[in-house]
Amino acid sequence: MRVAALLAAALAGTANDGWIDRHIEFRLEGVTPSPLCDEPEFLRRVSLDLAGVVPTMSEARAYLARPDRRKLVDRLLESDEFSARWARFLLELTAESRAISFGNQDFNGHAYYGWLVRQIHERRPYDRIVRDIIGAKGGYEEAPEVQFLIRWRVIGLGDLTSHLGKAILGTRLRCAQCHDHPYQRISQEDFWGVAAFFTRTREYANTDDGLPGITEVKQPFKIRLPSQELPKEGAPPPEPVAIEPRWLGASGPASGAGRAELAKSLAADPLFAKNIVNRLWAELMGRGLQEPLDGFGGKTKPSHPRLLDELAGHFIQSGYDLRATLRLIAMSKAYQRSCRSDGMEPALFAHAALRPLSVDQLYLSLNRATVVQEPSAPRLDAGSGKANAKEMMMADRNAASSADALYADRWPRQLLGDVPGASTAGRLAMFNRREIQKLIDAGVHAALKAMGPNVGEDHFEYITLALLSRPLSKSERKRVEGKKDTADLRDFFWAAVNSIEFRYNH
Amino acid sequence: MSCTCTRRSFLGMSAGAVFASRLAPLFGQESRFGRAKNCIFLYMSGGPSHLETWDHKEGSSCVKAIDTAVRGVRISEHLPRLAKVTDRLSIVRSMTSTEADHAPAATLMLTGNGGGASAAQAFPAFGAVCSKEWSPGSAALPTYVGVGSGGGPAFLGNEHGAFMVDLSDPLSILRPREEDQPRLTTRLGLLKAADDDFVRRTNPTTVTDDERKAVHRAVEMMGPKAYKAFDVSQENERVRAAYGDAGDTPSAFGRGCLLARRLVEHGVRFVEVILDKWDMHYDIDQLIGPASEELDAGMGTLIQELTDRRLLDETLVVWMGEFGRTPGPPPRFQGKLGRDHWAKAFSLVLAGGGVARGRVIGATDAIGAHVTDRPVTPQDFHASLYHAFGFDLNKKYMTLDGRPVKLIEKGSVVKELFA
Amino acid sequence: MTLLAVTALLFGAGQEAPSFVDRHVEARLGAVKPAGPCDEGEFLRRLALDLTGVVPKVEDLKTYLARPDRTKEVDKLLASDGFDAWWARFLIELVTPADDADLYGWLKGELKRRRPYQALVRDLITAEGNSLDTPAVNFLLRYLPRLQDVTGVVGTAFLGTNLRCAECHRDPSSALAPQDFWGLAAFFARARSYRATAIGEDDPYARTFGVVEQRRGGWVCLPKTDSRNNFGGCEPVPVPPDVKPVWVEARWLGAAKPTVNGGRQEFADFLVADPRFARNLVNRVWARLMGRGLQEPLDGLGGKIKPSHPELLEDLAGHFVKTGYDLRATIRLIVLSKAYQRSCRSDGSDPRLFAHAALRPLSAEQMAASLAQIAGRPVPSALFGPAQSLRQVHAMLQHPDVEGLIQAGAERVLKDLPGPVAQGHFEYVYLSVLSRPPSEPERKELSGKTTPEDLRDVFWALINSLEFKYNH
Repeated sequence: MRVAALLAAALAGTANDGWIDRHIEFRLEGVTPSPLCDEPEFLRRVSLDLAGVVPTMSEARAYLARPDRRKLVDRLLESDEFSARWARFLLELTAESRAISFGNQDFNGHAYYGWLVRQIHERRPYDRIVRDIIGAKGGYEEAPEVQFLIRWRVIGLGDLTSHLGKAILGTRLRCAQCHDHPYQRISQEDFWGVAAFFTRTREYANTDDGLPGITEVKQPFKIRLPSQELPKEGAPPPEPVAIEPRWLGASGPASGAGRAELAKSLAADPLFAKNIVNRLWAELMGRGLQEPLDGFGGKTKPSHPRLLDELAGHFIQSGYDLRATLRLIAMSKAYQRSCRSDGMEPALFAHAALRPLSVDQLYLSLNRATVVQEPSAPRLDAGSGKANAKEMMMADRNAASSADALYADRWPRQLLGDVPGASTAGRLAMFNRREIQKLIDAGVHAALKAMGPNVGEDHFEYITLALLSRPLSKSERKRVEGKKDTADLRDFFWAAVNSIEFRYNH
Repeated sequence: MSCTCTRRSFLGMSAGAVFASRLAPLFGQESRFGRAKNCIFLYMSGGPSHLETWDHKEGSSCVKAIDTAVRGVRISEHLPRLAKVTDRLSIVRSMTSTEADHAPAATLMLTGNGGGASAAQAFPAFGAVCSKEWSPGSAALPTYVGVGSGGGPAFLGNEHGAFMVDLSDPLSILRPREEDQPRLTTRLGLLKAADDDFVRRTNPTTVTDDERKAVHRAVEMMGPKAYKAFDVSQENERVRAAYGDAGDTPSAFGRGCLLARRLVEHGVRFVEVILDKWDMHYDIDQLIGPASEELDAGMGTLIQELTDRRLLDETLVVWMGEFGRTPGPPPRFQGKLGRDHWAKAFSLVLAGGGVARGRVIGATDAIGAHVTDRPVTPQDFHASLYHAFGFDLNKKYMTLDGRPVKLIEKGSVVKELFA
Repeated sequence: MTLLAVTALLFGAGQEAPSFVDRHVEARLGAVKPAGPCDEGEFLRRLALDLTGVVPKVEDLKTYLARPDRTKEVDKLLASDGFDAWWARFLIELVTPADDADLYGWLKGELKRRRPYQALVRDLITAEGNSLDTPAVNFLLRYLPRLQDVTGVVGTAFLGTNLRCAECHRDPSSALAPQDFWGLAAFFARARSYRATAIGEDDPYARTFGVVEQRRGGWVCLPKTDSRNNFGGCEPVPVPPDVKPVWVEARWLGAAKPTVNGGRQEFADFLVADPRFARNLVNRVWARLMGRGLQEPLDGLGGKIKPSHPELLEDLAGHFVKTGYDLRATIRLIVLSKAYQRSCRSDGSDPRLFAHAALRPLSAEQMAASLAQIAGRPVPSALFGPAQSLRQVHAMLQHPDVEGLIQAGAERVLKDLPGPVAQGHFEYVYLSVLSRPPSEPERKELSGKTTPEDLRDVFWALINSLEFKYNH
């Protein structure tokens, strides 16, 4: 039995240590999981997940001719698109903005995003990235990682600390801001002890161009503790108090401690690794092992606690390498199952989840599939190291503006509706928007150019390969039989663009 | 009418509350007013100065005051049309809040719940609540429309979020290109076939059900009813000019107000319009005039038209900003007069929907700094909205992680608005 | 430190051993006969004004006159708090035209700690951080982001060279080109000044500024070739479109190659190594003490006008460097020389020969400090304006505040010496204001005066006299 299973796994190209699947299968308890997905499904799914975009037609054709799942995963992990897509993930995680520019006008998402892209491209360990953004110093042009603190505004110390809890530890510290935490063992004092690590951090603005930066000063500022009550009339506001920096659960203050110590404490916390692997799992699997994602220590417990622990341990051992964990998940059977479901509970991971494409995935995939004007990936040359300072600063600016073109935040959002997934506004936008129609026209034009002016079955297959990464299905062949008009081709394209199959990852 | 008592909320109500609600006509307490059927939010983004709009202070305001249709009530000289219809408004001068930063303050005013960007829980915008509580006026029209500003539904479900309208071109989203229109039926047929294939392969789920519903609704909205409702060009020149949507620099806000009136007439229940010109840190004396003119033309005409078309009684119009601006005479900074954010005192105006007419509620001190009488918090404001629409403040909804929550935890109805 | 001891041994033990200062000065006297040494009272007054910025107290004068020992007195004053306060003023006037309490306070502290001059200058140039935490940044904050201003002041203050002529065109007198000027400025291009964002009104850092050093940079654009070169927030100069930007990298004066990514650390190294660095400082100290520099004008080093005593300048500079850039050591050397201690009696000889002590007017600060000491209460130096100015004269003649001072001074005398007004009182007034007893003719004049009004009149006359208002 064992040998047969292993053989089957090997044949399916999912050879791995198997411990992820052991944990999943253990909890299935009699529920039959869906079979593994087929090659076109895997190709599309893993390209969207790791590279953030559907494969090109040539990539699709090449893979389907000689499928090798391991090789595909490895290639995607090394691609430039990988860095761009996962920098986006980190941008949303740390700056909590789907938009590159956010309410705080000083926050320059472009520069910060460009920096994140470089970190991932250069395989910087995740714990180092977190340390960098917490301990960042200097002007934002030179040290774009200061953007993290600028976005959260040191003045808004409560928000910054709450966000660190949520994004880095996956836990809701915010509840302890005004009073002792209702269900975790965190007091208001604990919360502000963590916040106090930032009391010597200051924002500044250049006197000549007003651009922001972060610096440290010697005297910490006093904190005004918030309270739940609205101020009573006539009562003086509470005095600000000096608070010593103290990590959660530490018995005494960390004397002379600054942000570097905070970053160390964060990285040493068991939730640090658990949180990130949980989020990586959620990105690929559609839901975290812990839901909600910031619910650690809360009322809901992880669905597979031991799996979570092992993933966290593996991540730490890999040197906090995002790619290592992603490879592990992508090569598991749990990830590679078909999305066909028979009403199984999502938390069992017995089948792949249906996940709507994000706005960026839609935007990039549409562009790629219609070969209009592929926005260039951010410039990611390894850096000659000999470039003079001026050239280096120019190169950073270029990377950021390419990122800008890649994730121009108004264009896709306006076009595709604000809400991914099922929404009336989204449907109307994709049905009727002139820009989408133009894209479709371009796609049809491309098909005609590639397959010749006489519309035939091949043209329709061009469309399914480009948009859906698969050949025509039997029923589709029947439907397009005898269609010879460009108008028919256009209709088919329109329907494919608007289909659930295109707009979802499955 | 609007008593949406689900079994749960009924069980949640104490006997006393039930008893009280039966005696509502006698006591006027706990009853849900429920006269308003439609709602228009006019959101003055940036924090409009109360001293230069509704709460004029001699010696501090940098505008003069004029008399209004209500004796003793004076407002900014730049709001003459609104001065004429003040007898239809309730002006709350004693709003007070704790949030003085744009994003959390906006969230607080638009959803009745606070929070910085990483609030423990995101709450739905009031428009989304209305969308959830009401049956749609018509399947062919969205329930909640956002013109430049619109909130999300949080855990109420995607379909209750604002339907955002591009004011420069509201119609193009409702209809495909000319040359594509004849193909629509074929295309929809192909789409259905494709989706049916997909569902067959994967088995139906809530996701695929929602998608089908969305397509269905979208197709309905591509019909003539929505097109007519959103087609502002059908309004005559004179009316458009009255709103400010004419001339060299037509006002987007004016057009938004006109669209709001039109949409409400056609069956849209909740419209939100934004005027984003109020964050006057500098040059307040230069900027207040043009911004107020836009406001006056848009809102003044809107109130008048709603009255003329007998819609005001069932349409609640709200003028709101996220906070006020610093009191006293404005200081000079780098040679310019300006005011900073100020949440301790600011103004809010309501009209229609059964709200009291010609009333001023609350007051601030001589320089507009602190509330001296009848403070009203954003939560109180939302409680009053629920009262106006007859929504149950005690009703609980399920959050995405399965917790039942009330939407407005604190906050009491401002009874003076409805007496 | 050992060098200092040796030097002190060789030159400080007594006045007997002739220092190279006198050798050089005497070598150039030629036929001119130098004045004789000043007397003890004159010496103490001159020394006190030069080392501590205020006339000697009556008690100190009396003590000194009882047992005069010039060397001991010099060492005593060099170690006093008054020295730190007065010479910190010398330093701050070097680097900024305006008052800066934080920077002054810092300089005073560094002088007290006997920080070597080159370390102090290094600090001023390379300082980073917030002005509250690191007062030394206040120097650069005065000039940033105008790099031309930074370069100009550094040239004048630390190199004794006026570089500004080369800012826009080739300077004929120094043969410096704009490329050279801006090459220097480029060392500062990585320094950015900032305004701290306050956390609430009671934040001590509210309204503070600071300097931060970028990691990369070290180049600037020549002005008029690129409209981006508008340091200091002036309106950008529109540049004709056919003009291409000319980029200049950090490069020390006369260096063959630029210093890649050069910053302020590298600049400080070049600066200290330049021979003009030491020469400039000793020249200015000489000018302070002797009334005119060996090199005039003071920012003319390396220019067309040569120093009056080039070898002396060289030796002073060398001595200064050998002592580890010890300011006190140079001052000590000079004030213990015969050249310094000459009487101010002149016979019309060329002041450049230093054949006699120069008449130097008291500065506003010296005036205020001395009067404050005499009257026993504080006096604002703003009252006086620049030396010899009409304003100062006017103030002294009839400003009501000055009247008040005289009143206070007279009362003090009467308190210290109770009893009816007599000779002793007038003697006290002479000692405290002029640091000498009245002469015989003066005594005769005073014999008839016995009232407090007379006392005040005498006070008034003395403080308005040339003798008081000059250091001689």
